[in-house]
Amino acid sequence: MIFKQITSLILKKEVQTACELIGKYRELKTMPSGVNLFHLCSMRESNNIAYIKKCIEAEVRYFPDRSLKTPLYYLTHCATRDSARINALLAESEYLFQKSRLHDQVLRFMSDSLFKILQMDNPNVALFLNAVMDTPSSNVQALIPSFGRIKSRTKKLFVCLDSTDATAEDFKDILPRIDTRGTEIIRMKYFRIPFEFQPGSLQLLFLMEILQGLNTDEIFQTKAVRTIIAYGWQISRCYIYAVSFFYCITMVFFSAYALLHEPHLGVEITDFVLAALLLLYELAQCLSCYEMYAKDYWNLVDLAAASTRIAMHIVVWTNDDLNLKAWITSFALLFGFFKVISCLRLFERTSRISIIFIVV
Amino acid sequence: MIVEIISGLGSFFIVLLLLLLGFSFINYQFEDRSYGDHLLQTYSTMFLQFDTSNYSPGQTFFFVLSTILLSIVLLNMIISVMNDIFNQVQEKRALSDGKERVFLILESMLMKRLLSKICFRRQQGLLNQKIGNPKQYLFIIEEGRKQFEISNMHAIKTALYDLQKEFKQQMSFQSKLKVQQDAMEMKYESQNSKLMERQREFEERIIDRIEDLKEKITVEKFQIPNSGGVPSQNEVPVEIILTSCADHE
Repeated sequence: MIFKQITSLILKKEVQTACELIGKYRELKTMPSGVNLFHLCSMRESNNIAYIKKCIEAEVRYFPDRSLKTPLYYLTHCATRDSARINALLAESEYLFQKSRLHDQVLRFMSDSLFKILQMDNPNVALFLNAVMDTPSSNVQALIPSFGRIKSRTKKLFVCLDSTDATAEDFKDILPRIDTRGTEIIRMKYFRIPFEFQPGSLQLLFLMEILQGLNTDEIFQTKAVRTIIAYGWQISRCYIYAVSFFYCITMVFFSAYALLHEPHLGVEITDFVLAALLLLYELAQCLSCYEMYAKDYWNLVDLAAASTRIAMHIVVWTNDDLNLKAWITSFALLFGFFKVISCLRLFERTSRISIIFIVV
Repeated sequence: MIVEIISGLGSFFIVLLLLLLGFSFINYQFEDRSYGDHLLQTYSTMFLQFDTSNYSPGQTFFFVLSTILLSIVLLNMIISVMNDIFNQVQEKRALSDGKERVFLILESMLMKRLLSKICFRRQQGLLNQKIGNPKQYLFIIEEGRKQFEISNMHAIKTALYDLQKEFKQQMSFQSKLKVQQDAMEMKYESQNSKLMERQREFEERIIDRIEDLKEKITVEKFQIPNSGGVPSQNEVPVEIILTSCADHE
């Protein structure tokens, strides 16, 4: 009856009276749907920030309803997404998603909302992300040594588990990679929202797509985002290094070809095939995601490097103009070496130097 | 980052281009050579490559001016402008580095998907398996040293954010106090108005009473003349009544 009264007050936009009742009946919940006042205040019809603020102030419980939807789900999946209300809620993330096992149950159902929250792209999202990283229970922490040295260049190891209550079996592949003779403190943290973290999963791909569109520095400073990027780098770096290595090899070959005084058909054909492969690779990248490809200016350099090399061979075979050949070869070499310099950004130590060098 | 630096230098290059054009036009007035040669000569002057042996006094004057503007002022300006932009980008280092890495990761993930689509075209099962992956928790194990460099700017930002938060809290507390003060004032006003009303009623009642008594005294004066000059028990003097009323007030 009270729930109905509050609903009708919200619909009539009698904010003050509704807020008074919310404060008075904060434990109110409808059964069997499990919807409480927080859910009600997060729905589209309650389009006033005062309701959300009142729910937080009155300490109305934040939990998923029977359909496993949290108030944030209702707010973020609403057709007329109300940024003010979402921000009001995200600003209180530290309180709402306190670092305890009980609150883990709330975050369990938030993987769908995570994308929408990230797309908000403001400092409040960083507050939310700070709340979604936590240290596991002492039982889980006891499964790995407290001191040692991680046998990895990045000094990081990742494990994807089905539950937060891990067993010794879950860490059996990780333990040999921790040298217990080391003296560094070994710390473990986990991302409290379960997610499809398997390499090649669509959710991970979508998450990366969202991250590359964000422009808030605070979000990239959070431990959660840094962990996701580090994990993504861990599963992709072999491929990236291999492609870069292949490119450097082709560039060495091209440099040797550019030094030849007399034309050599075998070298020319080999270089043409290599250039064609690079161009195909670039085109495949472009076709797989055109928008993303155009956003990264390095890709345009890659495309220019491959296409000028192909153009150079075509000019050599069809035209006797040495001047034109010299121009195109020079441009192909210029773009090619730009691409080689861009490969330096893969390494932390050289990434900054490569950028300064190109600018100067 | 490079794009940001280049776009930041855009205005500088416009100034440089205008100065180069201007000085090459000036040089063109003194020597009978092609404009292209003069443009190249002016550009070389910027890097302190020149031959002043055949210069006329006018040409020498403009040469000195061009070296001051192009070599001394502009080349130093470009260094300071680049330094400024670089510092600005450094402040957002986490963003630029993070995004750069995300681009590379995304590129590799997309290409891997494309390759697996081509290679396992007939084995649709593999792809379907990738679509419906179970949700898992990601655990990170790392050495406890300071993993992430936090720049001074970030530290200042954090401190500023904390201050802002505190300021907001104080502001909300003050606003709450203000609301309470307003409510108290309103209550006081209503009480005061009630009191005033009651006072006014009381005054009216007293005035009525005085009027009644006056009338009564006047009537008694005319009806029962007093022989001894001493008032009876029922007769109260008007002055006494008025004094008592004043006391009551």
